[in-house]
Amino acid sequence: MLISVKNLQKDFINDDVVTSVLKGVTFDIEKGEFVSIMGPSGSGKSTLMHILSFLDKATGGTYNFETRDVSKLNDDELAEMRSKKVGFIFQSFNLLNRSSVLENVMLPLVYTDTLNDERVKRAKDLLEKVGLSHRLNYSPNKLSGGEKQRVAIARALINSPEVIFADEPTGNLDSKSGAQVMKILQDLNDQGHTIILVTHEKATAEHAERIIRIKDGVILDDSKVLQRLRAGGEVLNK
Amino acid sequence: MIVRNKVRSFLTMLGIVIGITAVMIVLSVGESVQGLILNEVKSIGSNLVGVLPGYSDENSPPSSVFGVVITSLKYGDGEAILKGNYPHIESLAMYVSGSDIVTVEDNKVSTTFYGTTASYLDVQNSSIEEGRFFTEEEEVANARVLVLGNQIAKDLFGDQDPIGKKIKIKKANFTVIGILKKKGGSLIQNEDGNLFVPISTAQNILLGINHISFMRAKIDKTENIDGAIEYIKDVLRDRHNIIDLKEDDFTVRSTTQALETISLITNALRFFLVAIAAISLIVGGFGIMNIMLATVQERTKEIGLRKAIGAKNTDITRQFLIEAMAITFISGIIGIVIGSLILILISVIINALNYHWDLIISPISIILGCIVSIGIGLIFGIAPARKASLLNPIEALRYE
Repeated sequence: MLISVKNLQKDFINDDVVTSVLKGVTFDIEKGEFVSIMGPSGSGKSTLMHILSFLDKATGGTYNFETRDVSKLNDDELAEMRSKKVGFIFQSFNLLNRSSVLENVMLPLVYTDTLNDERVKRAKDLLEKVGLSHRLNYSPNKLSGGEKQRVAIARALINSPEVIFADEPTGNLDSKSGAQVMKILQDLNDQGHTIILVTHEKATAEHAERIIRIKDGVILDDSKVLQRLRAGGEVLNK
Repeated sequence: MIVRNKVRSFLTMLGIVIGITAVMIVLSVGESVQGLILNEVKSIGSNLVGVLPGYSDENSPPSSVFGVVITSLKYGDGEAILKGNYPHIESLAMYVSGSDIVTVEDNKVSTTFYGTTASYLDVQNSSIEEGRFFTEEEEVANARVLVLGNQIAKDLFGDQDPIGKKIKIKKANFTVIGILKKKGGSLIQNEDGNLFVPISTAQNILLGINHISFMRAKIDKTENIDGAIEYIKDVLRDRHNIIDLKEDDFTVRSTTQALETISLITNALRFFLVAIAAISLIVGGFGIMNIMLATVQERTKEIGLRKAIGAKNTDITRQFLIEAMAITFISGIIGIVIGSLILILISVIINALNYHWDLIISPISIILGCIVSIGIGLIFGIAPARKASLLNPIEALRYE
């Protein structure tokens, strides 16, 4: 079992007003799964993703990642988990414009003890995989949205993470670039990567094998996708 | 960041640059002044005793040094000191001075003229290049003879031979009888640019006074200086009817003492200037802090990203601290370069003015400048760096 959450809760306290964003969420995710967490805004899906990706801590319940009890980790240990175990793909790409494409991809390795030659080699390999080896020294703001997101995917992969978290990865993209990005994610999943996709769009969510529907902090439904979308528009029966 | 906001970074760096430049100059000029003083001691000899009008305590100069006119010393005082035949006083010269603009044909020079005694050459370690100095007879006889400093002789007469020529000082005619050898500039007196006339002439014809400005006695050996000072004080107290020592109307001091006093004053000045430089550095430090806080604000999203991909709080702190220190260190280097250029300029100017000045770019000031500038980056960078490291990554990533 890669991820196991039981009765996970999250309360936010603002001026003595307690808001329960997650009200007891339970599920498991196996290694190699492609899971969508879907729900409208305010449903708690982002908060859930933040907890799963070690950016935030739950206020109740248990979260086990591999064999570790995440609630017992301190800030530095959480940072180390983010550094070694997860990769992020954001809606707004979050690339540093004053660094080159290559430097952006290498950035996560700054916080590991990887040697520089190795950093460059891995980053170049990954940029080749996402079809951007001709853009190594570009500034990200010279790239199209689709290209930016592919840089971000390369960055998410550089530390060979256990899980890739994709937070509305197609939200800022046109449909063609969006399809391209989803295809890359599906290919990565085919190669064995575990992917957790957070989205409010049904069509995007259905690229996954499994959808966890969440609303008002509770799980509405957790089921396999029967009519799985294959990027590029074709429908596959799995 | 440094490259992106050139103007902003430059303005921020200015405080540090100015501070380091100031420290650099103050420390190095300080060392040069020490050299100048040592050179002074060498050039006039360490075995001179000066007598100035007016009382002063141990460590400060008498007010006559600052231009206050005190008339308590007279020609007769000098004569009395010599008459006592104190064995260790080799010679004694008396001085009065004034200034005038002297014109010869087209050459106009503003200069200081000294009325002095025939013993001048001996006391000052000076010598005649051409002609002769005035005699003891001329010294007391209001003789209208004049000796030129080496430089002013050239300035006034060019290639002509000045001996025998007439010069007007304060509408009185003088005959040039001699030219002094070139001596080089000095703190106390720039002999090469001065004119010398008999003291009685200066008192009676040029200035209309009967007091003298100061005297200098040449002592045979350094170890006899203290004894000579006591002897001179006794003679003067006797002549001036002084019983209470606090009522002394004169100051007797060896050149070494006088130069020590100068060092003391320059040291105090140095300390004061370093303090001002320190204020500039502190102000500059707050400027750095300000810009680093602004940078942290602008780069909130980047900080969020870095934390998301695995940066620990200490990594973020380190990043911003290094950035702050880089800015202040670069400022420090710029300050050191500007400071050095100014020091070179100072040295060129002072040497052009014919003073002895060693160009010293003090290595200590360079090392100090580097350490202080990095230190300021560290001290004033801590708060912004901590602020950055404590940002919540989720909120930081959402920041627009």
